[in-house]
Amino acid sequence: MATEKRRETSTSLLRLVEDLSQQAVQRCYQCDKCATGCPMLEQMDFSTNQLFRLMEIGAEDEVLGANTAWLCASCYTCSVRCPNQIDIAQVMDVVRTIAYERGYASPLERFTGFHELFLDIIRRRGRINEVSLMARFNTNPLDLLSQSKLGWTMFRKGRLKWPSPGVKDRKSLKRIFESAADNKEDSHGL
Amino acid sequence: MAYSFFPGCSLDASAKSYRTSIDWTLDALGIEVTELSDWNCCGATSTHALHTPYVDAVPARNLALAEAEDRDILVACSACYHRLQRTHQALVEDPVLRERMESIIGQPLTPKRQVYNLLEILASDEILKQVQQRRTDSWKGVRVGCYYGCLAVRIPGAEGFDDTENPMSMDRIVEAAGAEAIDWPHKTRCCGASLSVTGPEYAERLCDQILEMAQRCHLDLLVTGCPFCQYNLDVVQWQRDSSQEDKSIPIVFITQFLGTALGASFKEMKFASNLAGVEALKRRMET
Repeated sequence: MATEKRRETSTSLLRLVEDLSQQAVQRCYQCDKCATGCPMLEQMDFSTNQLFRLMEIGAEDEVLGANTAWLCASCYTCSVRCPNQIDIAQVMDVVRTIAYERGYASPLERFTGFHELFLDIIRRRGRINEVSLMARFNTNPLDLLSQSKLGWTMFRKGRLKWPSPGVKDRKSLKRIFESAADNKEDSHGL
Repeated sequence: MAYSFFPGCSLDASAKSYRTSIDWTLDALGIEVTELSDWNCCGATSTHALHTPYVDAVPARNLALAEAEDRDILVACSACYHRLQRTHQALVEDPVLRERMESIIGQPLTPKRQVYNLLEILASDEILKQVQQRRTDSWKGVRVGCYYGCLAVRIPGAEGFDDTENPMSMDRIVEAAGAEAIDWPHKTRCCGASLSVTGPEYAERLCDQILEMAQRCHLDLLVTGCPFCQYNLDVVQWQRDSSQEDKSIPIVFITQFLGTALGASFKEMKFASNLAGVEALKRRMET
């Protein structure tokens, strides 16, 4: 089949992205529909379809170094509109994860710190407590100060709660993170 | 039919008024729910943002818990719904993934129980009829913009409970509750979700576009079913200087809205916990 034949000559990043996302990036025929509906397009180095083209020609550094995947808001507008049924937002998730694991810096300074912390809390407690998340996230006193007026308002309005219960069955959580991590090493090879 | 209710992390804190109004409204409408026992965070948005290997394993534990309780899951938060529904769908379609997830979770994932969004349950014919019969005139003449956001209605590759481009479930609820659901262009425009933390300037821009359109369409308030959307649109308005106060548009959870229509007080629906424009709304309602 045509797709299979093209796959043989496809670049390694393209193949990796297609494998991890389970999406046929090569089906993209550059109709630009994803870009047209993207609320973040103006801020992006390349549109999503341009990123696909760059992947196809093997411009790995440009793909992984672009801000496109980092700025994707995961709104899925592109994913539900794509005439070739490519879940484009999911492809962006995979490109971002690969870029991160290969040491590319996020153009959003606070991005990786926030999501690492968030995942760490899920790993340890199973649920997010927004107070401890934000307190641990805003360790810089200036950030804390700028956030404190909002924090105080949220408290006064009854929108903060601390402490809150986590998951009781911690063993099952641990198991998820350990086995999923093993699995990741087996199959991803990033 | 009883559901296992999946509240998600926000409903215990920043979206407490959502939880309170859901409990009140579902009880009033005779929709039976029990909180899913020992549920865990759905992983949004961090598993898919940066840790895709965990994206199905984290929600799958919840699906297994619901299987054990032998009930369908009812989800209120759009982000939680999206993650749970996507994993559910992937497990139905992909036996290899299912086998892998079963070995990770250590429990069977058949998965025969369904994942429902609160909006789809509230917009069922039977519930809408009940609302029409029982509603007060609280919202008469109020111009409401239904703000669906992204994640409740956009699940790639799925049939979905509503249209991806022009969803109507919330519009039907609002009309049944006696208000005017206004057709407006930004029903499904993105609020930026977690970008409000990781790249606030970007999220603010998106929120401003939505709020400006709401102004231009002369909407009195926006209703939403998503804690992220409520928070982002509410906070962005709160952060503006006070001279903008009269331009504020209250961002109201759909169950705060529906509960009020069914006779709950502003206090019972915790309107005081909303940030923007609620005082003006209260005055308007009282006159």
